[in-house]
Amino acid sequence: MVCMQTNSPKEITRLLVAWGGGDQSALEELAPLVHSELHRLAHHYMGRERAGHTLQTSALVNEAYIRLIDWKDVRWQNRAHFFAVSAQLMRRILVDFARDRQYLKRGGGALQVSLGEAAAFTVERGADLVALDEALTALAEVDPRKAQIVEMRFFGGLSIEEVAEVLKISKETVMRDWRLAKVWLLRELGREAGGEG
Amino acid sequence: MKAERWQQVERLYHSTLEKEVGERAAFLAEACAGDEGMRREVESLLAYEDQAENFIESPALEVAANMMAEEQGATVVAGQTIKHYKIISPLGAGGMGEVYLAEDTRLGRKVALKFLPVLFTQDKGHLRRFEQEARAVAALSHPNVCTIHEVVAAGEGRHCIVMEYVEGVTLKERIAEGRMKVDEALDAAIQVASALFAAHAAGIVHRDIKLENIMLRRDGYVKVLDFGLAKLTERQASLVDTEALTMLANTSPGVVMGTVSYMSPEQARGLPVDARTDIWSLGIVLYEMVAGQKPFEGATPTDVIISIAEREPVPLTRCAPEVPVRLERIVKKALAKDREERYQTAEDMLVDLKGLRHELAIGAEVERYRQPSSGGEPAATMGKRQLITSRFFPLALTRNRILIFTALIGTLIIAGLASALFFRQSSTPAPQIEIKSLAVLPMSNLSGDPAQDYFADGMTDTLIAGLAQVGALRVISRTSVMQYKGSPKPLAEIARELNVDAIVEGSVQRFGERVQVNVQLIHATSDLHLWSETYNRDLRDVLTLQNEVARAVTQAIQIKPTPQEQMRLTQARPINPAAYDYFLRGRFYLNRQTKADNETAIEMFDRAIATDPTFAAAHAELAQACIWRLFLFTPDEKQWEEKAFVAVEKALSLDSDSAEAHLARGRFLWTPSNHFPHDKAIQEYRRALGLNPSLDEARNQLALVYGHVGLLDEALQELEKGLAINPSNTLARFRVGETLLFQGKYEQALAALRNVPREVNPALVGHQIVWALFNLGRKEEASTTLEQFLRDYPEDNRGLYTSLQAVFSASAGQERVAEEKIKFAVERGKGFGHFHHTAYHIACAYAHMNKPAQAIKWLEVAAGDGFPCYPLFETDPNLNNLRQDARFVTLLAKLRQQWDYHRSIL
Repeated sequence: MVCMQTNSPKEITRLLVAWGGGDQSALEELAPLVHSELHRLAHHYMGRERAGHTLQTSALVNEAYIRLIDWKDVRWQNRAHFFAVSAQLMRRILVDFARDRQYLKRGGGALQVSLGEAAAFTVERGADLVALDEALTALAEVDPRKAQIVEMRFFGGLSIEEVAEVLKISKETVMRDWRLAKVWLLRELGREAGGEG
Repeated sequence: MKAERWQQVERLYHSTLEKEVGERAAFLAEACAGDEGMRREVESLLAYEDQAENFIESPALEVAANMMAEEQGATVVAGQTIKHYKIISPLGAGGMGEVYLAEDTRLGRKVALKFLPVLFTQDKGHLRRFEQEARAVAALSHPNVCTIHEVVAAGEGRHCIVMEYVEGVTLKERIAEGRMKVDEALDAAIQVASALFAAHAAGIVHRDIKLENIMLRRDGYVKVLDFGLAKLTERQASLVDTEALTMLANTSPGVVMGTVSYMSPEQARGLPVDARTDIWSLGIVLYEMVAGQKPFEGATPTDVIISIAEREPVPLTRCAPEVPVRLERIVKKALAKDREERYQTAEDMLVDLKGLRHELAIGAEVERYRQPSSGGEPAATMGKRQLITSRFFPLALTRNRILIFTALIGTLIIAGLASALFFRQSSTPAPQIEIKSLAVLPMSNLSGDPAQDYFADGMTDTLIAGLAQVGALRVISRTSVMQYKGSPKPLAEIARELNVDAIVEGSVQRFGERVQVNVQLIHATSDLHLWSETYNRDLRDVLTLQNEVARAVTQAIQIKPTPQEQMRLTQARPINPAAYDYFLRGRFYLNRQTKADNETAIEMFDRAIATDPTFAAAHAELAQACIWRLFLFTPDEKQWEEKAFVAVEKALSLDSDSAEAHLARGRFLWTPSNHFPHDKAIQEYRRALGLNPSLDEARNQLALVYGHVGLLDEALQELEKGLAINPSNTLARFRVGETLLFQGKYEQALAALRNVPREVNPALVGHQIVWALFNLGRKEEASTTLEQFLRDYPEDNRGLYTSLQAVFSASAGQERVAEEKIKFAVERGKGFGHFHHTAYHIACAYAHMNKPAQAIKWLEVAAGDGFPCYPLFETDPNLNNLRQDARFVTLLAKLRQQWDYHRSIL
């Protein structure tokens, strides 16, 4: 919001299109916008008193996504393409962000898979995102649609329904894909972390 | 993996999931039909089914944001190097970011690194202002200010403060273990105040003084953290929109609450703040250290803010009964809602804090010397005695200990040292501190309810009365101390004005039928805190308490009550709380000395007596009230005489040792209608003074009678003693002048009379000034002054002024005028029983006119009507024309006999 004031959703959309079209400099302009939203959310987490506030938290996250990728306002001929691009963009920015933190933590103890444990926010999270990114790349080779669903859901912040609409498949299919993708990724991450599980 | 095979895996996975958990293995084995690879593939995926439930269900943006939140907390890890600072370990988190212990690899010293939230350092201009402030703080180099070495960029827009590493705990952690002792808290507060003093002088306001920002080192050093950080957050209101702040307030109550609790009222209102906001916050910190709880609390930040703006905190002494009144006062002043009423500078507060610590240090040292038995007496006797003293003298010092104690104090004064070490090592005998006089300052009413003032005032009276019973001690009367109620004057100054060695001060708090009294004794010139105690009693035991305090004080200052005093100090029966309440209210009104208040006072004493008919003091006070009414307001209403008489006799029948009752009886007896029974009055006043030597009104009355019977030196002595107890008794000062006049010391008399404030009975003072001037030969001046007085007070009730006019005329040879004035004076004085002074003047006028027969006749009237002042008759130059007259000689001889008699009964 601090920065958003100078960047309207239209501007963001323009940047997204540009980046989708291969303009790498658009990323440099988009990344600070994402960081700004991160700061805002981070500020919210600083109190660390999140118990009982989960509803509010998801509302805030949704709001952030909407500010970044306001799909309702987007009049694209190819909506699927737009969301694919914005989800990729978010993935890129957030994984980069995580990679920087992973660098900081180097030498700092065992890797833990904790992306699913809402309460356990640890310094290893940076590593999780980076590892997940790698696992997701592997998944795309086996099943591109499932990888894309993960990308849209996890990085792009879309709901099951939204993904179904964008990809023009049934909600049930999205849910089945999502479920299998998660166990596949978990198995992949487990292998990377030292073959346990 | 081939796509077809993957599709098969997928199909099998979902079909297996549809089965019951127990059937899955069998189903899968059958479905794979010997394809072991397929079976293992599906099974390995199923193994993650449980973990998958929550996995990546939170969007990546949230995950990353959490990560960032942690990074403003704990993203830094051991071994990481920022500039030349190598992170060693985390130290803890604060509202302003995570702090790490690090090693300054260049200088080889430990430092603390505080990572500032990026949110606060994004704005370059703001960061620059913060860096400037940090440099200013770095320049302070004050032992109680945590030193800032530098501010460094840590990458990705993050910044951290490199600061002095303070090994210890925050005050918050310290208090979590339990509230602090007064001296410990005081010590910390002094160091914080000292830090604030230095910072404020450099123009730096902290704005966020709180327990979390104050570190307590193991060696007792206190370090105030985060000076300058205010520069980072002050932009919040302008740059971060209100939505974000509201969000913060709603979602992070802990963080906001912590900050809100220390906010000054002006801060809470969003007004501009100055150094005084830090004084407020220090007040909160001090309160919290001692009480173990925050002064202003509430369920939500808004509630806390309302509390800060509107409520008074629970008195500190209620949370912590051991807290000295002075500390309570300091906290109260720091927590004045209006900053104009607060300490205006940290230095002012520092001075008060240090003063108090000084006192307490002495108190503690004395306490230490009280503990060990100092021998000398057989163990059995000691044991028994201690048993008694601990019962009746909870703070009693044995004789030896008193000697040690006084020696200590003496040594201290001489050396000017409060060092405990010095005490322990000092064995040099030193002169003893002597306390022969003290003043009880009006007790503060800690109830927070002004309507309870009468109770605190009443306790002050009670305490004065209790201490006044000790003959060897001069105790300043209530009228003289009441002027210091709420006075900001330093104790030493008050003591100087009242000419006392020590001050007793304290506070009173009443909770229904319970009363808590905190009393302390302070040596005036040295400001040493000699003794202090808190009593928590049932209201019905308050008289016992008064005596207990009196005894403890006399013990503390090494005055030995006589056996009778001793006995009286142990006697006190429980009283009915309701009766006592009426009694105190009655005294409160009685002391206000207006007709309406006098009526209320009588009503209150009546009620006290109705509630407890055996309450002797209430009868005695009722008698006083009736007598005052008679003397001051309604001399014609004879029913008050009757009522006074009954009350006096009732009081004395209940308690023949009531000094007040004897005083009342004396005043009641010594009236014109009783023809001024000097002997009886003298007897009553002496009895009253025997019971309560500090009853200054009894001294003044005694001096009045002495003056009339010609015991002039004795009268002056009594007046002097009375004035030492109650310097503000102007009537007594007038009487000094009058007595000097009777002695023929006109110059001295005039000086004394001119010193009496005009508002005190101007007619009374005026006539004696005129008389002094006349006798000094300043007849013109005397005449002019007299005429002026007559213009101002034309009524001349007793014909006093008119009789003076007669003297002036007679001495000027205007006989006819003089005769007229005499006639006029006699007429005016008709019906006034108190006519003997006028009669004396008339005699003087006749003496000047050389009419001895008339002169002697009027002298006989004066003497017979209560004014047999032999030394005056014998020496007054105005009577010189009579000296050869045989009748005058006979009269003088008769008066001389009376005078000798009165001297004999002294």
